[in-house]
Amino acid sequence: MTAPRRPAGPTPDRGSARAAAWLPLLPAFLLYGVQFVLPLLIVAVMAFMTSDGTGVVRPTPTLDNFAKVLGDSYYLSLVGRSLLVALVTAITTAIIGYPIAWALARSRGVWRSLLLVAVMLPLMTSSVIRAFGWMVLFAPGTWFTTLFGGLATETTGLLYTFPGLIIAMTHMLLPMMILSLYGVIEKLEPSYEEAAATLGSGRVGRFLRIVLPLTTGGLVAGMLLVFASAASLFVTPRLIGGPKQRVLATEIYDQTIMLLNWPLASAMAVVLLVLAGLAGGVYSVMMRRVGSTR
Amino acid sequence: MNKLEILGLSKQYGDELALDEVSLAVAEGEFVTVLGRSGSGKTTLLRSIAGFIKPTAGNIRVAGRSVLDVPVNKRGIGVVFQNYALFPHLTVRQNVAYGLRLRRIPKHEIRERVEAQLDRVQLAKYADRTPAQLSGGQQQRVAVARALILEPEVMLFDEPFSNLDVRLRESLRNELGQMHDRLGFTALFVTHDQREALSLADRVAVMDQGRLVQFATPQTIYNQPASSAVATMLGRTNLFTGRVAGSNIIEVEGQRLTIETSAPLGAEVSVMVRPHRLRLVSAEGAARGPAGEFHAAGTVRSIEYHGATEAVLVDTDGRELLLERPAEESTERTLDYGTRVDVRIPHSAFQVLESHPKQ
Amino acid sequence: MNRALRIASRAWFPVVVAAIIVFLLAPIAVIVAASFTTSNYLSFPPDGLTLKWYAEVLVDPSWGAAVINSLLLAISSSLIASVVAVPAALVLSRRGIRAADLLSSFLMLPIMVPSVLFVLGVLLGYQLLDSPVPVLGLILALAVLIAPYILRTLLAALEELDPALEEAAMSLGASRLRAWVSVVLPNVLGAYAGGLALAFIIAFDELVVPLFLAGPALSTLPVRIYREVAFDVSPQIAAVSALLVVVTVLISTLAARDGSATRILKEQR
Repeated sequence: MTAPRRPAGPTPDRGSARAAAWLPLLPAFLLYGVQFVLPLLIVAVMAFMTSDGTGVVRPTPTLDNFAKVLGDSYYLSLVGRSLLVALVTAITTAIIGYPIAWALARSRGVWRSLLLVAVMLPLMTSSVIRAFGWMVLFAPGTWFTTLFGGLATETTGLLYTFPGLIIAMTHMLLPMMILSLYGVIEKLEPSYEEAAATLGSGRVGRFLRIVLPLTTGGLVAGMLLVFASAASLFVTPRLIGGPKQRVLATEIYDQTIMLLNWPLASAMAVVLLVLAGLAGGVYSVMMRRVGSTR
Repeated sequence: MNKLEILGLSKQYGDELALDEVSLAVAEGEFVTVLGRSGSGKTTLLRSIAGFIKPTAGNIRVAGRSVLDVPVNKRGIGVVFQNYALFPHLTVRQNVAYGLRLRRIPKHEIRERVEAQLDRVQLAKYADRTPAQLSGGQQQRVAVARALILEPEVMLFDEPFSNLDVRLRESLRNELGQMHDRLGFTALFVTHDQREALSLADRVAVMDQGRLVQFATPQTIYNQPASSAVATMLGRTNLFTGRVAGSNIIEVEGQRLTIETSAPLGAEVSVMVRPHRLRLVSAEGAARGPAGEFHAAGTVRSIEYHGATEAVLVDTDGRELLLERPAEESTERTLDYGTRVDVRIPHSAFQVLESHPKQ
Repeated sequence: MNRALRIASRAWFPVVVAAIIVFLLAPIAVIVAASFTTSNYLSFPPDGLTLKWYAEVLVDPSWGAAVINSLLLAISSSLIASVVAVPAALVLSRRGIRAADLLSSFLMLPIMVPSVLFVLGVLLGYQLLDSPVPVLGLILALAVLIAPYILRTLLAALEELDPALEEAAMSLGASRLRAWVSVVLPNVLGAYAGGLALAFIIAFDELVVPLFLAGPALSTLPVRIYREVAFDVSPQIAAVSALLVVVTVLISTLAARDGSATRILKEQR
């Protein structure tokens, strides 16, 4: 027959007992309801309101905001840049992340501890500090900036440039990709690679023919995750991208806090949600299916 | 007195009938094993008795009272789980004391009873160790002690040896058997291993596809299996179909054999012969053998050396017969793949598989 | 030449890995190094070594206030997140609940949804009510942000736990609740500590939420650093940042003693 079924707890029969079993979820529902669902609804509704540009919101429903975000070339360029940055970051983190993830999964001892520190430390450091570090490195005239030659500008070095932004974003999200890849590589039977080695395959060959094909699940999941996060990051685009490389997230902040154009900000937030949410949604569905085939 | 009574227990999962009207009773102090393959319903049965599964029909009585509506923690049933489920964060002493502490028994009394119990299972030396620091046998003793100290009416064992290697299984089996002899608890022991089932039990309940197919002493189960399903569960065997052709005469593959049976004339019956009852004669000496012997000619298909015995598979006209003979014989008469042989089976070795209601 | 090539081809992998490790640690190392510079502006490599910036920071009361604010916010939001996540994990880890997968995906949403979204919503909500965002609102917003991390850690640990433990406790007479408390919880405490530490650190380091929601009086450390960095880049900020990194490392090494690092790694599956 099938594999042994996981034992279920005794299900209470009485209606009230069954209801009581859900009681522990009450704090969760309360918190999420008030601080998550409700705010999302507010944003969704606000996106359709009209603003007269002076911080006053008139509850006349309109699609102007969306028209602006998706039609006006300035805003559209923001959407485009957000998408592009997210996509490129997903790719760069995948390429750089794989070797580390593999090394992390297969190493022991000193190497492993070193790798763990290298991956965990950035995760636990505030994004401000990480961005700050890149600001120092990207300053004009440093040895680092000179490495990049023509890509850097005279006045601001690598700051406010697209390559600079990508480097910083990659750094920001690399741990996330590594963790996702690590998860699948670790589950991979080392005997596959060992078998390939006995059949004459070198390290690169083993990677390309064995590890890569068998871990595409983790790769896709990681890329979706990085894509969703990259599209929504604020600090890095703000500090590193600056005024030349604006994205949706930074614009939302400006519209909300400085320009007080809440409907427009909300519309942008909704668009951002769609972009990031789609990726995140696909990821969740994937994870659920993967999780059930344990 | 019957400590445990199962009456017409059934459990349905959608289209699937995991338990089909199972009824049995376990007397006080009796050790009953439930033998079956995976999917036979034996685990469902055990978990229903413990209270983790709610049956769709039937009744369960413990010491005379129905426990159907009684939650797990109030049934008075002790359970020893497959991996023992010892609490990893507690010491041996704390594990054994767990149930007592739930019952608000005064601390000093708990201490006394736990010490006594640990002595009884010879674990006093390890009282302050954690489960991770114990051997398999010691873990088993803790699991049993922990449940027994609460003086349950019935002890349930959920295949506690299935993850162990052969030698460990044997020694733990012996330990458990001795524990039972000494302490005398009432037990229901679920397993798929027929050696365990036969050696530990006062009575064996054989389950197949959710049904209880035979419930009898180990000797009866082995010598008078009620069906081919039971017979094959107890070891490799040879099965034939025959038809009753007269009073105690059964015709099997064209040969009339004298076999005792109570089946009516013309009925089709299943007949079995254990591998060690078959004889081999070389094809050359194959003149008609003595009357009273079934014979079939064939070729040797495979030979398996098992140390003390040898298992020989003979292909007789498309059907395979399994023969077991002492290893010494192979030096007297060596066989090879393809040797032509004649298989002889005395009529007395045949056994009709029919259920014997009076067990 | 051939031999050198062969050695090089076998050594290229560790070199690549080493290079990536350097990449990962670079910005942080740079900040820490720059915090020792004697000059008045940030430079890497630093000009000379001094601890004067640290001295300045440690006596400056405004930095101290920012740290305290961050601490209080992180502690309170972690507590609330625990109150939310722990019972939820206990319920959702029970097998046989059909909606469990769906519910846990829902509870994980704040990680997937851009934080600007619900933070914006909270801000707008309070504006519509014509009131400034109270501290509680800020704490709750942080709590919803970090609760998924605690939940995920707990769910993973509960998944690994032998289901028979709970059943054994019940067969010995414990009610379901008693079984959870006396048998299940103690065995996931290690995981909980790791998840709590992670959540605490994330709450502490968070910028977007306080940036939107905190009033001017309630400056958190990351917000303060952000504002300073955007205007005037002095080594003082580098010193603050370095201190923050050190404290973070301390907290996580304390929590990681039982291998939570590998646990966090495993959870990503």
